[in-house]
Amino acid sequence: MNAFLLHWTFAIPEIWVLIMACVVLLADLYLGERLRDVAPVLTVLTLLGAAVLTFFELGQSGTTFAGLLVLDPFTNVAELFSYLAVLMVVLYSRRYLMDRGIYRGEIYVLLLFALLGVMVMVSGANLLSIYLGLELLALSQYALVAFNRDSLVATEAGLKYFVLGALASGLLLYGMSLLYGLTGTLEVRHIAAALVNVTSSNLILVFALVFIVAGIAFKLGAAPFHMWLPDVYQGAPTVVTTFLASAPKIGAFALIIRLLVDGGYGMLESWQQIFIALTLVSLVVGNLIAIAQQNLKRMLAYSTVGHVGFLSLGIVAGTEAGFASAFFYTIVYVLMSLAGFGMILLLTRAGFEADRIDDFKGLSQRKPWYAFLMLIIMFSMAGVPPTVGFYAKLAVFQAVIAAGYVWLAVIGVLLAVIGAFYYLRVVKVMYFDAPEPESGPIVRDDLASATLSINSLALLVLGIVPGPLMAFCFYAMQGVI
Amino acid sequence: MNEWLFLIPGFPLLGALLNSIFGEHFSPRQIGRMAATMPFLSTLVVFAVWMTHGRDPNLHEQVWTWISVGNFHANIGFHVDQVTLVMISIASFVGFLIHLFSQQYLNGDYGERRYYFYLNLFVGGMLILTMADNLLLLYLGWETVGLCSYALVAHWYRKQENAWAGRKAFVVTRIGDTALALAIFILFAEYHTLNYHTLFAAVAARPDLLALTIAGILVLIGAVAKSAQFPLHIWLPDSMAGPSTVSALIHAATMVTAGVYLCIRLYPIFAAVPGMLWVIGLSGAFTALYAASCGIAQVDIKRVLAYSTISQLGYMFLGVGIGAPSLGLFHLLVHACFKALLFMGAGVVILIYSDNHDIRQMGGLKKQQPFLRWTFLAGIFALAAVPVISASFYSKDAIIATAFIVPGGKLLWVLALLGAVFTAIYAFRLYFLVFEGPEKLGEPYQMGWGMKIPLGILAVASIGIGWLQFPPGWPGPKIWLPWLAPELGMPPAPSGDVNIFLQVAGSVATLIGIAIAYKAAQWEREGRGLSRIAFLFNAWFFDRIFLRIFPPIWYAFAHILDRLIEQGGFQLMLLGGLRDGFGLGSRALEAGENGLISRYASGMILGLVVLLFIAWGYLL
Repeated sequence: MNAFLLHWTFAIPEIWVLIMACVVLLADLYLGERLRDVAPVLTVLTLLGAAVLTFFELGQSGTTFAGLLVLDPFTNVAELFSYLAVLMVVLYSRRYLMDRGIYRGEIYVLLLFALLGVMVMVSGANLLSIYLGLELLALSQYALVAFNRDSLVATEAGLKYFVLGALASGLLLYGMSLLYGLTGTLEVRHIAAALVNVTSSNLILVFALVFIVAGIAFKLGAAPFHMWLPDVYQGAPTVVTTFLASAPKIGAFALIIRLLVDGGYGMLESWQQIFIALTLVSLVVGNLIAIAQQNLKRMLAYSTVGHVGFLSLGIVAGTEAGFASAFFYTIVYVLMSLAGFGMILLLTRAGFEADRIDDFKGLSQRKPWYAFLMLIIMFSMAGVPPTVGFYAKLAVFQAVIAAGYVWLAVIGVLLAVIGAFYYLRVVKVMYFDAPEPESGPIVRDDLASATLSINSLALLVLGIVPGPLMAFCFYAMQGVI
Repeated sequence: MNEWLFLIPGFPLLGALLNSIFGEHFSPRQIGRMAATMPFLSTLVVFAVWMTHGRDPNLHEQVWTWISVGNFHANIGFHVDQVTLVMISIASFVGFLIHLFSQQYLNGDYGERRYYFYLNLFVGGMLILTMADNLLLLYLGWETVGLCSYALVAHWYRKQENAWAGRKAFVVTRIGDTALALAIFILFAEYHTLNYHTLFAAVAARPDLLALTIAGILVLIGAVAKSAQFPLHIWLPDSMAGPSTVSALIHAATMVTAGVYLCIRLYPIFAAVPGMLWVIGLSGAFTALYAASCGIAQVDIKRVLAYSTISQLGYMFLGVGIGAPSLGLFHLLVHACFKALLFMGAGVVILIYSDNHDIRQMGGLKKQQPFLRWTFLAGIFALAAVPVISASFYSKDAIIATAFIVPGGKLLWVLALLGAVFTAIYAFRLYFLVFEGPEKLGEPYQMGWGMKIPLGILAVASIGIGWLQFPPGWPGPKIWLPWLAPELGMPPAPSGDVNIFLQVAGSVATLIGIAIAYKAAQWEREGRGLSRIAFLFNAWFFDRIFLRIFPPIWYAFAHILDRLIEQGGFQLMLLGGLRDGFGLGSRALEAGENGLISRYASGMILGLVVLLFIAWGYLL
């Protein structure tokens, strides 16, 4: 066995997802007409299989394919949560797609390829592999956003996303090439070693870092690189929006870990300043603009910007606890978005998108259980104890205060209070307003309803028992610093 | 046994959970059976604790830590010692008996699932309250039982006055809840711990008199409100609007004793402040006399028992105040048995007289309901503390006697002894009016075994449970006080001639009371009874005076706040300034995002340039 293939078993989950994506594609091609459920069922099996394979790799670590991919606790944990996120999207998606006549296998194939992109980003140890993963994810996402090709808003959103995404990829690639020029290597750990000899006031290094951070900020959705987010979130089919807000965020977080922490931890002070600026702008822009939104998907998009601001607080802290809390926040954010968009999915039916806040009026009378779940989701997003959202915020605040940035934490808390306004408005609308006549009946959907119940109650349960998840996040950060 | 303690409150809470989730799929009858099983299972676990560790219980279970920030730890931890063991035995076993009794009593009523949900939740809350090893968890249980009390008092909410009574109970106890919360804050700020064990050690090592005084007074306010002591007793008579089973469980056997339990539990804090215990004793003795005097003039069967509960709780406070918390706990146990019995019996009486509560229109029930009569009489014996053959004689009279010999206790003794006379009067006046005299027929009512068993068990306990501790100088077992001594110490005991004098005085007080009661019942039948004394009938007019004074003051205060702070400050500032400001900022920022892709791209580039300058500027 040659050196390139040494430890190739570390990449088995990636290989499995790749093969299965092709299998799903073929199966759908030949069987899709007769067995419409073949693609989603196979996708679910793929995800479960991948989870099992990843589970067996827990505890191992090392690099493979000549340092292109790395296996460490972070890889395992982030991949497991990515599977979970995609699994939820699949479970939510069925009826929504059927109602709109786009229940086709391609969407699941694209989801799997996007997942593969996330996995490669998460396990990338080389600028090339990281970039490849990123583009695989991005291209799948462009296609997903414009998946409903007969919808004007969806195609417009897809195009916007594509153009701006290309620009962001360019920025990232430019930063990477500068880094390569500076250090002469593409391997992240070698870059870290080489950067020891570079003074931090080196102008090229500053450029490289800023461009890379800008690229990451675009993927995360941090202001001022967030403007695509509301339009794309609103325009894309809600199933796709649900996906956009889930696994790709874990991938974007992985970029921070792989590029900035694994590669540029020596330059912590430089990019810390950039992140402080991003955090402040994101917190203000996200939380303020969200107030004025009438469309729930748009509001959640701006709330995403705000959440990115909060999770960046943990990154600003620059400590192990900081990264762990930011990772915790990312996972919690993913769970909350899945639930939030899942709720919209559940209330939609053919010809009715249920994405205006007014559509939630009087939900407590129409479907008390859903209203209660939405209450948990909104409380969690606002950070009200005992939901897990409170813990996520508490953890990043603790980290950033421990790192000496009390003023940032104060600003964060103030903006969290402002943020509570628009989350609680949804609660108010659900419980205190009369339902609108055109809301119509709620279509029964047991699969999505059960998934949503588990998803939302998880926010409550994790809030009451946050310890294990937090320990998991700390475990993921082992060996990162 | 240690790791199974959580099951004790766990079963009833599980019952409440199952009921709330799956309740609608089962009939009320099935739900009732499920609900009754839960406290029974708790009782079994408690029984196992008795069997394994009953001699000297000292169990501790740390279930889990919810929040841990700095030196603040929100621990879910349970501790079982002698005091707790008594409390959880009452809460689970009496709770079970009342669940059992409810099966027939509530049958065919409306809101049965809701009733059982709150009843289960209540038992769970009460068990948490008593088993908590720290003040925060105690407070959780404290609030839970308060909520359940509110919901169950207002159970028949379709009648306006029942809902009002529920609200009154909630609001008045709320005063105490707030005080208790403040006390917990102060104790934590001063001693940085909420765990009893470490808190008491810290208090002993470093008594800060000011903080302890304030905290002690606040805890006392909390206890007084929960246990319906003067002057915060006004909610209890009205809370009789709830079902009789609720009165038996919550307003007799368990929740109202939480205040006494709190005082016993936090005894080291009260003991550290000079004079504090005497205040508790005075409060208890006065309440005992006051409420008993009100009791003799009531005509509503449940209000008699309500005032009686207030009065009996006063004796328990007196026990704590005179440095005999173990006697207070003894009376708590005895009272839980006979008062639950009396309330359930009263519930049946009310059913027989088709929802009529007026004892003047009852009479001669002994022929129609012999079983009810004998069990009820056992409860009345215990309430009046009939010498030798009732449990109260060994608990209540012991408290009164001990009051005589402690320093500063003569006044308390006089009050308590007068209260004992009144107690005997209202107890037997009630019995004579309802069960003796000319027969007034009600509806025929057949008690099932589910009703007879609880009444029977409690009747036996009301007579016999006092024999756990015979007075000093008597032959017979003396188990109770030595068993509690490791935790609560031995109370002072009278001896010699004083002892004999005190016991004779206590017995004579009861016998005088019974004699007066016989006459009082006759007068009442003739229409010229004690109920015509408006001063006593209206409970010294306190309720009316309070309602006249405090709500208007409070409304005026709220009104001023509304005008000044809410309308003037917040509305102007927040709505006028902040909200519009945020709205403006929100729209201004959004205006930058007009959906045009060129604008977005230029925004990104602009952001990039700014970031470059920031990073560069920092490095320069």
